[in-house]
Amino acid sequence: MLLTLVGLAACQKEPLTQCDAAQPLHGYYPFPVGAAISMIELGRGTAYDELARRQFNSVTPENCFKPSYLHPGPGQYYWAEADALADFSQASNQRLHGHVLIWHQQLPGWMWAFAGSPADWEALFKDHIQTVVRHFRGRVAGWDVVNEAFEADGTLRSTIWKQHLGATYLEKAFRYAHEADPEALLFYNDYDLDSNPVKRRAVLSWLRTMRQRGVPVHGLGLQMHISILNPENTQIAEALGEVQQTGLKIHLSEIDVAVNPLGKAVTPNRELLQRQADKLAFLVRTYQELPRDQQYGITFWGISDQNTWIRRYFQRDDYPLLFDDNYQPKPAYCILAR
Amino acid sequence: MTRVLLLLTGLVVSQSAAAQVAVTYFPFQSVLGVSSDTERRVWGGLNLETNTFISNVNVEVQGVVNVKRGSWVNYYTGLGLNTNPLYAVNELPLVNGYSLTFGTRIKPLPNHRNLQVVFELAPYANRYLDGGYLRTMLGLAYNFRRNTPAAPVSE
Repeated sequence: MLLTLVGLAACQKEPLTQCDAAQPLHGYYPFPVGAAISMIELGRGTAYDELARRQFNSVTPENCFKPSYLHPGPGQYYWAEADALADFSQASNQRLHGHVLIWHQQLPGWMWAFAGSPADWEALFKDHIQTVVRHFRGRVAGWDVVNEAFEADGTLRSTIWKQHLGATYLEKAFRYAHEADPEALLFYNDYDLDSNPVKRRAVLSWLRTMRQRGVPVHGLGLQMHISILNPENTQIAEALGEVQQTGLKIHLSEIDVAVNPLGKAVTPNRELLQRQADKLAFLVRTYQELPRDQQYGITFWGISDQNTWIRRYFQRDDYPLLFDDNYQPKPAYCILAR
Repeated sequence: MTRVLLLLTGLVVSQSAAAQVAVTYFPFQSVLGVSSDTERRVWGGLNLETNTFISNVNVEVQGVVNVKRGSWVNYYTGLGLNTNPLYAVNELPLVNGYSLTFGTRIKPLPNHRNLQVVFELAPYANRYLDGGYLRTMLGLAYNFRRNTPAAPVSE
């Protein structure tokens, strides 16, 4: 084995750092390859629009399905942007993945201020889930029903939903969504499941309980907001190995690979971009080893570095996506597009 | 890098040539180790990370020095190079990172000194030395050496 290793080291090829994006990325993989779409960026004839349409065969709304956008007032729904994305995905023959029904962030102000009895909260909760799911019935293939319900220590997060409905809100969310569209695949979605085994095991334990209780949970979304520093490849493999054992569909649902997680002054030099490409290649190639029927697909959380949420949210320079600020393919794209 | 691999290869091969082999299994980490005679002053080993995806079967090549040898327990330290041969096929860097191991091999049964309990503390750093984690490993080992000394051999 050692001699083999030495031989391989001696003859290893230089990685490809430049390529064009002439072929769609999704064509290289047997599972859907998607991107989160920002409706601000989407417009006919732009580079963003062209890449969104050609490179991916699955789309996830980055924001426009979130309650603060869809449900701005009591009994008041705003469908225009979300419908535009549904039309876009249909016209481009792309799968539409719904994100997100129940979350503790990006809620409209009236929900935060809502003062009602537990029965009123239950009615609000059910109405939101079922109105949204019914509106998109037949157009959305799968839903992130609940997002980020667990804390890092494995306990349930104290969201407004848990405070007003109790811990059973999770189960109810899935049952209500299933009633509204029995054909849709329903996912639980969370972050750090790749790097935090305590949180991961808590989520997996809860999923086992849901399955034992006959709750319609079909898949698990691992967000995969990772960086070139963390997690180590072996931790990614360990996480995927554990979630595979659930038998659920696995969605790498919000992939980006930060090159500047410590928030220093950086320029995206060749070494950083190659490390990013290597990390991403390992992630995707390990995902390919899951059983085919568990591969729901992979989704990048944006298209170009110019559009990444990381720059806005963390107020730092970063370059975590497949295309650079000028919408040119980066080494991370090139290593996947072969 | 090739030179480092060659050096470690030379160490392991020369040690193994003495036909003294020890095997260790770390069940919590699913790591299988094969090494030369762990009673020698200097020994080498290969740790194979198992129960994972084929693409993640990493191999750690180690060079180890026994800093104190006794009839009940040996204390050792060593350097490791964590690699993945299959990465060459995927055009990924062959070397994952480096480890610094501090370990003990406890020989709890007086009549069966070859059966050993192994505990290792092994900080691991990635190949760029800017990230990593602290590993702890607990395992069972058997040293196939022919003549295990009954008397202490402390140095």
